[in-house]
Amino acid sequence: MIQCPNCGGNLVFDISSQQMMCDHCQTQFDPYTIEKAEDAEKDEFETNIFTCPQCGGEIYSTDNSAANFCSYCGASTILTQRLSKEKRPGYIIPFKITKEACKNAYQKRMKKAIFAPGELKDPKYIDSFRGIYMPFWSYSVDMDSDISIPAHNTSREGDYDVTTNYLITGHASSKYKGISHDASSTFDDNISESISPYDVKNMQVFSPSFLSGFYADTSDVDPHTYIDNAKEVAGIEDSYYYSSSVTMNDLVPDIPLANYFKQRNQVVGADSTMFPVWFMSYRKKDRVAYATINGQTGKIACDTPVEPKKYILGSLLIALPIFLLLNAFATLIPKTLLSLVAIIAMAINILFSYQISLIAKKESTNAISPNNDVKIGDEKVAVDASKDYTWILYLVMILFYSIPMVCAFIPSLTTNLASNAKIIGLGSTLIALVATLIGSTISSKKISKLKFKKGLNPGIFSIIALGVAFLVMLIQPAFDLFYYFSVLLILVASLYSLIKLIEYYNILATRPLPQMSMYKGGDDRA
Amino acid sequence: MLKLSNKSNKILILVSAFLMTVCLILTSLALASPLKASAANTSSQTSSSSQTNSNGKSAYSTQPSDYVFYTSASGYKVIIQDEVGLLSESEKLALIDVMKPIADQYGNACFVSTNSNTSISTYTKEYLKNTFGLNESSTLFVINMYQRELYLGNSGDLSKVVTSSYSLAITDNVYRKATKTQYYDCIVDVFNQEYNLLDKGKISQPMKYISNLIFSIILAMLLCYFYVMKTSKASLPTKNEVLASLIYSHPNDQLVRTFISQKRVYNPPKSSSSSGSSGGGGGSFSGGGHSF
Repeated sequence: MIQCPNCGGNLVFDISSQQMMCDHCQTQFDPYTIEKAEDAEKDEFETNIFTCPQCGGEIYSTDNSAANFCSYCGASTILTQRLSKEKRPGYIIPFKITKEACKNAYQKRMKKAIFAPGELKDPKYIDSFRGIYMPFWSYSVDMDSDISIPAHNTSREGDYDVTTNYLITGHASSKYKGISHDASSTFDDNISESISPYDVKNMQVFSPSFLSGFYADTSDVDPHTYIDNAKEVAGIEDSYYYSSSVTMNDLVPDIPLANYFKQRNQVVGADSTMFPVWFMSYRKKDRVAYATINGQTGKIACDTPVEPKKYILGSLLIALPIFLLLNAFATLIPKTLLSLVAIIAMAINILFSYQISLIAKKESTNAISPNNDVKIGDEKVAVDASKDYTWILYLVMILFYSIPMVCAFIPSLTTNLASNAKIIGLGSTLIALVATLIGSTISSKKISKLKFKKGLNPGIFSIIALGVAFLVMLIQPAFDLFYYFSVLLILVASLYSLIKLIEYYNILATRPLPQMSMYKGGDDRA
Repeated sequence: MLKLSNKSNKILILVSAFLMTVCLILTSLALASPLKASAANTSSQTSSSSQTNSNGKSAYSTQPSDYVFYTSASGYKVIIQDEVGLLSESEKLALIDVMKPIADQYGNACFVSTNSNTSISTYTKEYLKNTFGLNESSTLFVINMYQRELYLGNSGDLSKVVTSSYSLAITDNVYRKATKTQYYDCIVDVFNQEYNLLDKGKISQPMKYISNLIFSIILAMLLCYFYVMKTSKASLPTKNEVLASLIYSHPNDQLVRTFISQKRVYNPPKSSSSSGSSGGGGGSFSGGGHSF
């Protein structure tokens, strides 16, 4: 705790005035003058470390008031507290966005998340936003190199296409300061990228005074980790800068510029810095969602899970104006309806397969080592070594399944009873069926490898419904009821698919509960 | 031995196997039924199509033997051309009374039963065009026994009131009667509903509302999902934003461009052939039908 020289009250950093303010006598002090001169020269400073007993997450502060919830796992618990010394960072960007402004930005963002759980919009919950300084490495990257870049431009002269080739030569130099990467393994790179950039022009020399009233995360990532990323960013920015320069702005380079400049850039320094983040977590069962706001610019990044009930209710509300609009302009006969619904069912199943691919990709970040062992932290978990040949079985099934379909489909085209509507109906349901079979085969193979499974693959129901639809189209019964029954089957199957889609989306939109002892940085979703 | 990786895979395979078997059985049935239908229609044509195709007349000839006229005071006609013989003589006379109100006030009213193999919509349009011209207000209800289709077509001012959408709704409302071979009731229902519509009344359109409702729900769910995906996407900073956030300088830039070579390729503009719009025939037409 930093004491007020006047009254002994608690001095905290006031965002609005950018000064230290006594919470008792309201006197303001300069953050640098309040720090003792001898402390300012030391490499370390005294802090209170707060540790979550549930997830092991740690944050520290110069305050000693008890913290009663964990920002990382969302647990409502008194964090254990101990005194420690932290290495003094070089620079800090103080909070510029007040908690009120942060809450307003969040509420504005959540207005768009109409299907999000109600708790996420609850004022009590929103009040749990916590100001945390996140450690970043701020790299200085220089380039001083002779360059030679082939480039061309094309123009038109009369009936001729004219391509003119040039060579850009000379000397290029650039100096970047402040290419930043987060230095906390607990802070997801994915989040830090989403709320970036921080304007390093407003960076100030660090003083522990800035931490009073806030928390900070510890820096535990080696500065060498992101050297290549820093050079890459410098290369991209060089490429952007030079391609818009007078010499090159009308030319198309013949080589990838970003990579060309990246190879010529060198990291000349890495400063330890603290950047401000407003942080809030939402916990539901074994998943947690984060809301983060850049404490300097107000840029927001939120995990927004979807409440299935709200989604269904919202869809029904949206269906009403579509229904009224359709009634004004269209009359769908049952055959056309069946074709349209089949195509939409196909689209939903393709989306489902795509979403499963995304989750599988996220999960694959837990690299599988060559000996088929999954590495989680320092533990190795054996994976069943027997190969999965299910997909071969699926392919055989698809071939067998399509034989009667094709046998029946081709003669139906040649008969003089086949009108355009019938051909379109048969074609659309057949395409939807085959595409869903293929999509389900792919997704089923991927689901079998997922850690988080959510019931049966919805493709099963869609295949049944689309199979029935194709048969109805083939037989062409006169009674509408057959078409409506088939449409209803597809509707139910699609509803199930969409609910599963939302459940899997929620896996993408949330994260597993953190176990800090196992954290190695990177993207921890899925 | 193949290893099935999870429960859903096993179920999917079992379901596919079951469906494949059902599919094979139903396909055999489906393939057999058109042949039966063709055979039945061939005999039907032999017995009753002497008025049309066998006489060498066009499929929409207006001069067959089984032909009933009524001309209203306004000049509009009622025509009943029952080539297939679906109606008895007394039913035809009674039907004229049902169709009269339309002819008295709104336009020509016709009923045709046929075994033509021409597309029923083309048949209807050509019949109206050849008999009255598409500019004249006319309505025609066709029952095609060979195709087992019903079709209601309208031309002239009538097509503006009895639109294709309404024609679809009317045929959908009556097709069950045709399926039960209650042809007279079916035809009477068509002209009564049409008269109601012309008389600024309303007709029930359950098919339209059910279909549109189902389609709206499934479309809305898909749209909502796209909305979720769009709003949840995090926006990464642009190159410009990143550059603006950095402290940077380019203290010693000396770049020059040197001409190397030039290549000219002859590439004359492609002559775009303008397709002339084909002139449409005069008049307007609307229609809709249903199988039975």
